[in-house]
Amino acid sequence: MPSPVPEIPPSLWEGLRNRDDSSLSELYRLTYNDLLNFGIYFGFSATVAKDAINQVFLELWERGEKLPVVSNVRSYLITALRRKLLKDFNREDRFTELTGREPGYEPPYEEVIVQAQEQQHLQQTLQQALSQLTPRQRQLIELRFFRNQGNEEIAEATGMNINTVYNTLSSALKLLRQTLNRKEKRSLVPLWLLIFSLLGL
Amino acid sequence: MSMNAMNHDLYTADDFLLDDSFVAYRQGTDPAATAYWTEWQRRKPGNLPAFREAERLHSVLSGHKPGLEASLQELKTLLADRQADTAPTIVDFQPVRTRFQTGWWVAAASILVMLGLGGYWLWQNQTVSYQTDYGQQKTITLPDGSTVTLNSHSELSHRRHWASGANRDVTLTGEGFFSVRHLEVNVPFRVHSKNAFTVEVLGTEFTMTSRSDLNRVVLNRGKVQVSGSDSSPALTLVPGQLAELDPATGQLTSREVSAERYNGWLRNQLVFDEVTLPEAVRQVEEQFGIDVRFDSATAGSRRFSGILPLKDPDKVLNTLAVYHQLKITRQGDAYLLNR
Repeated sequence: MPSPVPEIPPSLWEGLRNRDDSSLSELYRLTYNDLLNFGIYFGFSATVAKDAINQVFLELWERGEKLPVVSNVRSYLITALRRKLLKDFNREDRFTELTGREPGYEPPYEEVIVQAQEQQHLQQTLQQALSQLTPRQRQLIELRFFRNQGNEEIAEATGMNINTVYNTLSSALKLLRQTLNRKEKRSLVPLWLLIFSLLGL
Repeated sequence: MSMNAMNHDLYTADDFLLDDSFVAYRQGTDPAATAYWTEWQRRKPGNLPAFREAERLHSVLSGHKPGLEASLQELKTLLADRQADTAPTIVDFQPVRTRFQTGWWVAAASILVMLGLGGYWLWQNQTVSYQTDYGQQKTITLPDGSTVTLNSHSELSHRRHWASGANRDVTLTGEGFFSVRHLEVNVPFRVHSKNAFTVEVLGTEFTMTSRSDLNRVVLNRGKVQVSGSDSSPALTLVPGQLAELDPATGQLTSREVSAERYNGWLRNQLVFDEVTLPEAVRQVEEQFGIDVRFDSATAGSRRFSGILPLKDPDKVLNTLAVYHQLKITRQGDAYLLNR
């Protein structure tokens, strides 16, 4: 799913090279979610990705005017983040680091988002919950909650009517919550039984 | 949808998730939305449980991303730390001056104290200690709210009770990652080691190692001043620097490093940073509590760097062997590396 990438004005990079504080903030705001998604797609947790992004920006800031003039800021940042993750945050065997993931392969959202859950039971339940959705529903959930798009943006990007966007998301959320909550409640039943039986004694 | 157009007190979990301003609050992209929803929660409306459910589901579906503005703030703090002109915190590399020796002396002294001053004082001054086995890690919260994560085969001890305003003293053997809370009153936090040096800080993050002949501090955040024995000049460390005590000369040296490499074990990584084979082998032995032998003729002085998963010693040693073109064999409980 190609996502609309926010335009990065060249003046922001120039500002960063001149150590302009507001250019740094602006560039960070424009690229943060995009870079986080890259880190998550690359197999890292969002927290680790965030730490690596901050390290990248810290180093860019410190290099200041020594930074090269860059035409494609986005791909420069992605490359820097990729290098940072492999160099300092890599959990894999560094000597074989390049054998794991093939460049260019983008796993689908549901696979990525299931991987991003740290609790194992949540991984299974979420996988099951997502598998009940239609492809259209999954696409809208991804756009809204992973790609950070507003309802109107989604309507524009998909050519759907805004009300259809609402209704599709609404039915998808209902299904997701049902599956996720059912699992939670089921696991609570034995606990209640235990408490009642203890009170009975 | 505008923030005031709907009555948010009647929202269901799904209504929240469909509301752009709620999602902006969760993403931390809009300060106005953050302010609005923070204030809204403070009023404790009746549908707060639905709000919490929406928050949980949003977190799951977004992959638990940290909010934008919070992360940007964190970056600004990191930048400020590097540029800070404030007085540095003190790291004092000196022989230990712990008040309590562990073991029998504590017991003996305790009995005398108990006879003299009573049980309460004793209880407060008891030494509490935490240990980890080989291959184990443990996170400890100290009485002041600071945390320490102990690496494999390490021990941390401190007095049970820390009076407010009194010094915070702990003793470390092995390796630990410290996240020290800065208190309103500047109360020093000191890490003593059994044989080499004392680290004194106010509020900062660092990894300290104190194993037989390896005494080292790597600074992640904050600013520290390091002073060695009288003959060695004082150093100021900024984040990303390492200070080490030379076991032979007692001199203090510092260099630029990648600080995350030294707490890789927090993320289940075994990190080798410009080490020779004997140094790497010692690291492996300390981490897993195993015995590795090698013919010193094969060792060489080639330095290498790398990150290996901290899972099992077999995999780590195999990779080391392949990298150095050596063979690895098992000899009873020990491993043998040779040509």
